Order: sequence, then C-alpha cells, then structure tokens
Amino acid sequence: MPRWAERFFPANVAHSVYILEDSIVDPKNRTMTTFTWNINHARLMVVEERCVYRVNPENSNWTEVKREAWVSSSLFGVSRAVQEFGLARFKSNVTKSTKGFEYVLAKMQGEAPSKTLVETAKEATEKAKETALAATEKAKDLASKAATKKKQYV
Amino acid sequence: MNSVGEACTELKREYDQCFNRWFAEKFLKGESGGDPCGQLFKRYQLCVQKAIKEKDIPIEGLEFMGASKAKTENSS
Repeated sequence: MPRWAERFFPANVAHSVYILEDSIVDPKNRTMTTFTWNINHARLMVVEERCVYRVNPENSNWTEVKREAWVSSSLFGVSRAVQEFGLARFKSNVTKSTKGFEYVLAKMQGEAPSKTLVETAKEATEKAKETALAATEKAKDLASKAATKKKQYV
Repeated sequence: MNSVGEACTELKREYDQCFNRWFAEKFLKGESGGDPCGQLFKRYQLCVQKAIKEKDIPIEGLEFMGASKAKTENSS
C-alpha cells in the first residue's frame, strides 16, 4: 500500500495479504486455467487474474498463455486512486513475473532469454491502460449517479 | 514454498512430493485413477485448517475459480 493510503486504511496496514489460486488441468484438451485472487483486504481492493494456457493454434510446439486481470474496489471516490494504483502495481509486477517466467523457460531450454518480452510488455501495458480508463469512466458514472440520487432525497 | 501455517510446512512438503509424482507419472499420462496421496493430503489439510482459524483468514463463501463472478471481456 502506498504511504498516502495508510492514513485512510489503518486497519489494512501491516496485515499480510492472502491469495488463493485455483487451477484446472485438462490433459485431454491440453489446457490449463488458473484463477488467482486475494481473499482478504477485499473491502479495500480486489485483484483477480485468470491465465489460460493452451497449445498455440499455429505452432503446436508452442504454449501460449492469455492473461487477464481485473482490479476493483467497492469504495468509490478514494477507490479510483486505489484502483489505478493497483493496476499500476499489477502492471509492474506482471513485467517482473513475466521476466522470471521467460528466464526460467530459457534456462530450461538451454537458450538465452529472447527479446520478445518487450513486445509482450507493450501489449500488456496497452490493455491495462484501456482497462484503467474503462474503470475510471465507470467510477465517474457511478459517482455522478450517486450524487444525483442524493439530490432527490433533499 | 512454505505453508501458510509454519508448523505445516513439513506436511506440505511430503504431500507435494507425492502429488507431483502422481501428477507427472499418472495423471498427465492419462491414468487418473487411484488416490495414493489421500492420507497425506488429509493430514496436511487438518494442519492448514487449524492455522487458518488461528490466523483468522476469511474463507467463508469462497467459490472455486471465483465462480460467483462471471468473468467476460466486458465486465468492469
């Protein structure tokens, strides 16, 4: 959690986050799906990630992974900042973990880590930007709806 | 990787070893029958459940693969 947020969420400071990962392995169809999410600090923010691993349809020697993530927060107002922080942190973590992933793969296959990581990271950044934008728009929309509701009760 | 309950790490290691062997040599090769690790799993699970209670980890209402939420491209 960034320092500025600690003041707003004192109960969350210094509590470890617990994460669950569920997975399904389908050896018949040769796919694996993992779903990972945090099971505490959920009132503050929830990050969910789904990865689907399958045989690349164009090259059966390749495994491809599709990674999707959702960052959400139920507290509106401050949460927009929390959501964007979460997304930014996720993006940087994804780059690190993808680097680690590719490094291990390269070592296993006895080759030097390739340059394709840069392209992958670029695509992920674009998708993440789009998702953050959508989240911001949705937050704005819901906030203005909430403001409208308040007026009706005055 | 350690277990969430520090005291359970050894039980986890034993179970993981059994599981990984079964997974690589049986399951992935198409033989999904048999349950050679059931006992080890039960012992490990009991230990973890105790640790979860002690640490107050919120596990009520959790669904497999976060099943209560339908995750599509258009969800916000």
